[in-house]
Amino acid sequence: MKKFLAEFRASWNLIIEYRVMVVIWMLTIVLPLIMLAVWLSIAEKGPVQGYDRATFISYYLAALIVRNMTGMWFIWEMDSEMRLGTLSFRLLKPMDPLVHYLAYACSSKPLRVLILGPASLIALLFLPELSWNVDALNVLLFVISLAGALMILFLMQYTIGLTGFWITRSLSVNDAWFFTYSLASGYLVPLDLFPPAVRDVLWYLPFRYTMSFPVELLMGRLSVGSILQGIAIQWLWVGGMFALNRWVWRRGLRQFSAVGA
Amino acid sequence: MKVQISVRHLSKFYEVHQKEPGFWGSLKAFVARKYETVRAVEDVSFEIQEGEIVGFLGPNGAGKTTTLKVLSGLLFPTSGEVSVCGFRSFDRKPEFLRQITLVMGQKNQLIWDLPASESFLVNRAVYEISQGDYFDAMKELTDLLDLGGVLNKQVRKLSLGERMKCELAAALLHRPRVLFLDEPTIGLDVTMQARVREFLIEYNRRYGATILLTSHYMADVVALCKRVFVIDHGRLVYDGDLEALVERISPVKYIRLVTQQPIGAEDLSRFGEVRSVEAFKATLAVPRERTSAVAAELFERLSIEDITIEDPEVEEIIGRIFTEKLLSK
Repeated sequence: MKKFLAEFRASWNLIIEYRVMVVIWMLTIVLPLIMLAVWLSIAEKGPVQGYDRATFISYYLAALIVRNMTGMWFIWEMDSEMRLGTLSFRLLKPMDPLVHYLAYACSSKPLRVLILGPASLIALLFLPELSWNVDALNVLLFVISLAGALMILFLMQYTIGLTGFWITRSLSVNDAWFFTYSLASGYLVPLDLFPPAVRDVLWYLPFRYTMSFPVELLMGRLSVGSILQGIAIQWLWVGGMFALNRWVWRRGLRQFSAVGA
Repeated sequence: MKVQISVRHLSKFYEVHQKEPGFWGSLKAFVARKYETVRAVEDVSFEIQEGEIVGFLGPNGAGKTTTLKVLSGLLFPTSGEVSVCGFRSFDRKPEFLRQITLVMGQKNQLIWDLPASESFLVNRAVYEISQGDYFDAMKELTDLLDLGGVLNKQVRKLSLGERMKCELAAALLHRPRVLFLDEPTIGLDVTMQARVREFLIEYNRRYGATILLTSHYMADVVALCKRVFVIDHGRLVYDGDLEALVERISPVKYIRLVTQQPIGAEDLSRFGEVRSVEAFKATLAVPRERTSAVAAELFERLSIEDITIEDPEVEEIIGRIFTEKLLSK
């Protein structure tokens, strides 16, 4: 934990160093706003499967928050460290590199809270159509669900990053992954609007728990019982992804140490 | 004295794929890759005692870096046994990692966009260094490496020499007992090279640390290492005293003389091989065992102003080892 905090501190200092960049990054997360504009024009003719104007606004603004709080881009750093050979230094330290990358992935979150918190308050005050459940309990559960979503996404990205041990460009795998994530998580289109058969399949995949689940939670569409169940499922996925990650890690190290840094 | 590093019959081979240049070459490589086995290190054995400083010599691609990587635990040996501080390197146990360090002169472990002091704080936590030890180590390293004023500047704004000093400090904060240094002085100017050498000697003296280093600068090797390994095409061709190596490879010494009267090659040729001659100065190559006799004779026959006897430059000798394959078995 001490090691994590030291790594977090250093990454946080980097974020401060790059503060302008973080704001720009935040502004580039516009996909939900574009989707919102599209759906609003469609919804003008009447609700789509129960989703009206207000629902779409509440959905996509929640998605914007979830994406900001769970998105991460450390695979770019992993990729360059692997190709330039500086990963070797990490392997020679008495700390699993996972701790470093997790700290790095989390480091911009406080700054995002500082910006998104006030922005959300303003939106709640001035956008009468925005219907979120902001009871203390619900907000607490929302934050907990964000942690689970972040861990699932972290382990997915870290595992994809590890494929860099075998292929030179793990980033292209990441591109393919992002496409799948955007569709299957509810980031692009609410899962409710998919045909029921597709939706049922998506419910059994981890993606829903990284986006749709926290969004539905914030919108007040879930009972406390189903929220707790959802959080439990999130951590089951975290456990599964972690096991997979450790397996890939061990094999990757064997590959790395056979072929060379 | 205890054996700190022991290597027995170490070999490391890898497969690399080959690609012909150009578009067709790429296409061919895409469809059917040709692999070739590179024998980076082959059947190398040696032992290093605690506190020794050993220089690793060899041309580019001879297997020096590969050996250092195997020793530090980054590469798994194809065959053979490697033990460092009593650990099998490749297990990379935390207790092992806390006792070693690897510095690669061409690579950077400091956080590029932050001051070096931030990297030190991370290392402090990672190596679980106590507040007191950290303070002592920082003070000592700041003194020895003259780091004042450098620590709080962004790493990317440092000069190469300043950065290398910070790299060394970051790598030694946990006071490792075994140092693997791959070209630690590369790209540094002469003063800075000398500074790094002095530092390494001092570190070795204070902590009895074992150091294995590679360098292209002979001055590093001459100043630091009594013992050297020579590696060529993955094979260890020499392990022993640097001086003995010089004697073995070069059977001659140089006599440099300054005379009171002008001299010519014809006056000197009977004393030894004339390497250079100009007016009042000349250099002769003389078989090692005859140097003092020849020098005495020169004094007798010529009006000598000054005379010196020197070994050939080590660069020259090492160069000869590889170009003339003098040590190949």
